[in-house]
Amino acid sequence: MKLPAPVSFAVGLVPALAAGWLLFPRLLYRTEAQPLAFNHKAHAEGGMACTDCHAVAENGRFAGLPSTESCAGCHAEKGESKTINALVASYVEPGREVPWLVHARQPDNVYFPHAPHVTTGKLACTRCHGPEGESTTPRAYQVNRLSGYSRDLWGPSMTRAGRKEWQGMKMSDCIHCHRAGGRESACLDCHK
Amino acid sequence: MKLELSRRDLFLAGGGAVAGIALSPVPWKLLDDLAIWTQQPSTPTPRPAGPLAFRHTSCSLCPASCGLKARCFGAQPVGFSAVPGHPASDGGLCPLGLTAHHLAKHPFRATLPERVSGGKRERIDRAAAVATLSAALAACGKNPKRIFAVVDGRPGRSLSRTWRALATATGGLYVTPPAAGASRSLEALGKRFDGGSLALGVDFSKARRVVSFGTPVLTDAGTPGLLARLRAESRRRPAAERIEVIQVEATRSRGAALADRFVPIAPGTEAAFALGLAHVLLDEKLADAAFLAARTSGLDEFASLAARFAPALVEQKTGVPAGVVTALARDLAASLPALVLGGDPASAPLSAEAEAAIASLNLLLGAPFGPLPVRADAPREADGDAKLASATPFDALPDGSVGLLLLDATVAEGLVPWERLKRALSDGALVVSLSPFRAGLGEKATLLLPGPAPLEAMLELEGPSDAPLSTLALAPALLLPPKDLPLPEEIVREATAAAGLSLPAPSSGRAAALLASKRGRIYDPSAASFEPLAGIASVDALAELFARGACWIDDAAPEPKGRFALLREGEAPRLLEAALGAPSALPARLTTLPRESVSAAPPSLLLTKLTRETTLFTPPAAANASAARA
Amino acid sequence: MHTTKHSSTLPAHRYTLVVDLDRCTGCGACGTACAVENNIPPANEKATERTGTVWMRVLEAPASSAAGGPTTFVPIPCQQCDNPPCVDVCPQRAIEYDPRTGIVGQIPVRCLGCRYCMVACPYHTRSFNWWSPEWPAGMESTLNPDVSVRTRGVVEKCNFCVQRLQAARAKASAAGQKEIDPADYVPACVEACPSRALYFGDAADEKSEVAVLSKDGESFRLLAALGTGPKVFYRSSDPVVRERLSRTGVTRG
Repeated sequence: MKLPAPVSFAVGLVPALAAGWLLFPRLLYRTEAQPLAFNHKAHAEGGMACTDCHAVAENGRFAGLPSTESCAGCHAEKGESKTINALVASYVEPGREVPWLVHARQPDNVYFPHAPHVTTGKLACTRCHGPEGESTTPRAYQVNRLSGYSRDLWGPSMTRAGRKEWQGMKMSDCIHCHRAGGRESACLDCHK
Repeated sequence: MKLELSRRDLFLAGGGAVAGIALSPVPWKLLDDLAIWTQQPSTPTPRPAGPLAFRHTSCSLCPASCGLKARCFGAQPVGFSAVPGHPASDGGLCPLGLTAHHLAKHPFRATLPERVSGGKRERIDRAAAVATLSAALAACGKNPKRIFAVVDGRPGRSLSRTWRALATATGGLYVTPPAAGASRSLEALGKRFDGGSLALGVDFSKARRVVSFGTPVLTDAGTPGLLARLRAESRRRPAAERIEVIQVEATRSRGAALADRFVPIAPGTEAAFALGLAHVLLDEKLADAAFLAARTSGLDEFASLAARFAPALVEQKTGVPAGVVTALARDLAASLPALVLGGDPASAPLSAEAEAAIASLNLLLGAPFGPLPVRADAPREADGDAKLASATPFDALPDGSVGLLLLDATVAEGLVPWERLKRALSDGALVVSLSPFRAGLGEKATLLLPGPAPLEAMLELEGPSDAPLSTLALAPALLLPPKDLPLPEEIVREATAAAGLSLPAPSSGRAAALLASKRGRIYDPSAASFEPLAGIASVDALAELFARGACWIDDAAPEPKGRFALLREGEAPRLLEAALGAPSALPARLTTLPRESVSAAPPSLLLTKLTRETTLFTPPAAANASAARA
Repeated sequence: MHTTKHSSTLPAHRYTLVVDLDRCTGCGACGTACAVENNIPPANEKATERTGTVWMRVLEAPASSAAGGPTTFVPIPCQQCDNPPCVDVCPQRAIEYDPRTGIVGQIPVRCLGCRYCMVACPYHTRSFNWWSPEWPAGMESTLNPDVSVRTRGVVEKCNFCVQRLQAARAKASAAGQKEIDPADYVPACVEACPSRALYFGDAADEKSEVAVLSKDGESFRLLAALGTGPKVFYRSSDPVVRERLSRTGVTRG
């Protein structure tokens, strides 16, 4: 019996599509676990604002992640939960910084100042970071094996179609927003 | 039923696969990621090691002890800037200081004791280091040809008392290197004062003429950039207020090239030239008669000596035209205040006679207490000092006598040349260096006990002795030393105890001694303000200020009563012989990077920018090669 | 009024460097501070004066008179031209004249390494990375996190320490101010100079020190006749030095 032409075609097409859409992302991205199961929601519900831990310093520099010292301000002792015990045992007591894997870390030649966006531009944190503050466990950190960058720079969807504003932090995304606001700038405003 | 697969099916399936891949994100995403990948070289990606903070300390690399403002991320300094208004440096920094934070990671850095035996260098542990050193210490003192000697690059520290005590306990010598830069001619002048030594400084802001016999006043000596800055500022003032620098030197050094006037002179004839100037000053009655009458003795004897140095004879000896000698002397007398500095032990050493002639010239120009102000040394601990060995000058180290030589980490090879040290050693001597680097004297040592690198330990830093006032900083450490670094001072103490000798407990009483003196003011760099020392409540408060990078500066000292001798006893014949005889041959050494010769540490690799990627300075290798040829 | 090809009017800020040649002793502190600040690696073992990476080069000009006289040292960073010849020749648009600051920005990641810009620059202030940057083990920790490290095969040059301008802007933003505090933006070379031969500021502010200094009779620009409009000015009290350097510049080797 001879196979009909569409079937022969499909024999090639379907596995290729499956490989391209399902297997390729798994091969391209490596998943790494965060060091601690941090619960943003519990902190936010406790009445904390994003800027209580992720603040812009007086010198205009964004501190990014809080230091272990500031965690220890509330969690100096073990007892409340497994995660807090792990925090105290592994980081607070030995005085080490938590090696968080930063979803939003930009390439080395990018200069992104928070102060003009947050303080001057009055952008909400969620505008670029999404509803991160509502998460109860940290999202898996996916790193692109070729570029070494976080998957968040490209966004969760492989096609980038239909993505929300905070999904993706490529240069074109920065430019899109700057153009829309008539804030086109020089290369060296955002590169170092 | 048999399935018949043909080539056609294979092509169709292949086409389907290609279509499938094309319709998947693979090509487009790969294109993007590969483009990024091509821009991803294996270069380091510097990340902040913590929040940005500025910390203050002082540079320990040369005697200038400049204030450093360190830009740090977390505990890691990434750069320095100068501190304008700092009492020791007033905003100056040189290339060595700007790269001081690299030195802890220098490729020549050693962090474990090393021993050279049979021409092979091997790492040893702490116990072996203690054993080697204690055996050598125990052997000292028995044979007068194999004594102990310790060389201290920065005398006057609390640690210096330990070294003196060690020299006392072993019946050995406590050796101090020659002072750097212009300090030597100040010492020569101070020694002529009644009752021994008077400490003098230099105040360039009070001088209108600076005559330098080879001292790199515009480039290397004293505070970086200070005289160049003062001179440039004076150029925009009326002609009568201008500062001019006259360089008298055998080679057209960088200092000579930058000077307003360069007087090339035959090597080793500096004494004759200085006496020629003295002749004109006395002959034409241009010398400061009031100062000479009130503050000096032995004018007649000196005048009869100087009378023999008429410009014509000076021209014959030095190669400087008689007219130039006369014109320079007249210009100096007409442009007072003027001062004369001589020599640099690191690059252009002068004979003792030339220094004597220069000292007399300063007296004829009335320089002391004006541009050469008197200053008091920074307060030191004095308990039991009388029982400790006094300092032996480096030049007086006897040949072939030392069986155990200890070189403190502060000893700079430029001031203590290895060739000269080698002469002092007896056969099979143990040379111990506390340098943290396998370079310079640390490389020559047969036992290397590496200590903390620059910025890794607190250091007592007195300012340059050619500054107008004494300064002192107990400069805090900026970096942590490697965790398992055996501290050399502890090894020495252990070895001393094992050899059956006793040392006093380490002291850290410098701050207390300073506070007790109630002298001077203290500069707080974070507030950029001075506070009188008398207003500091306790030693702890003072120590805390120093830990923040503060620097103490003395008050102006009162003018002492007494006279300078224009000639010291029995000096005239020696001076005459030296000035009229054959030129004295002193080895002139090439300096490479600024201040490199007076620094105990090798320069950062980054300074290849100045030696290899530009031609601003001679690369050390080339300098060594040409020095070897010479 | 002087205008540029790249913008119809003068930039709102004109960041300007004034070099007082009377003060320079050629100590090399400016170039060293520059290399520390901008993560320029130590010389490769094969590097020479022509192939090294130097953003701030200090050259020695011959003595000003036949009789000798003092030597002049001339520090030469990128001259930050208002009509930069390098911008026009770059096929990658990897060089950009910022019309708001007057800074000629180099974007090494975009650079393809053709070196046309190096040919076009009459001041020879550009460097090509002939080798991958290398630091001795552990020395990477001393690198400045505000500047990214460039790779082999690209051209780089002085950007007037633009990372310090970025930081000053962020600080102003955090304080709710529109304009930076001039004291917050000082390039590393200016901060380092021990004899204070370098002045830096915004010449658009008529009262600023650089505006006053760059206009007086002792100031001049290198190779003035080319019309490149540098924003690096030199000063000397010696008319011979002024005349010669503005006419012929100073060359290495």
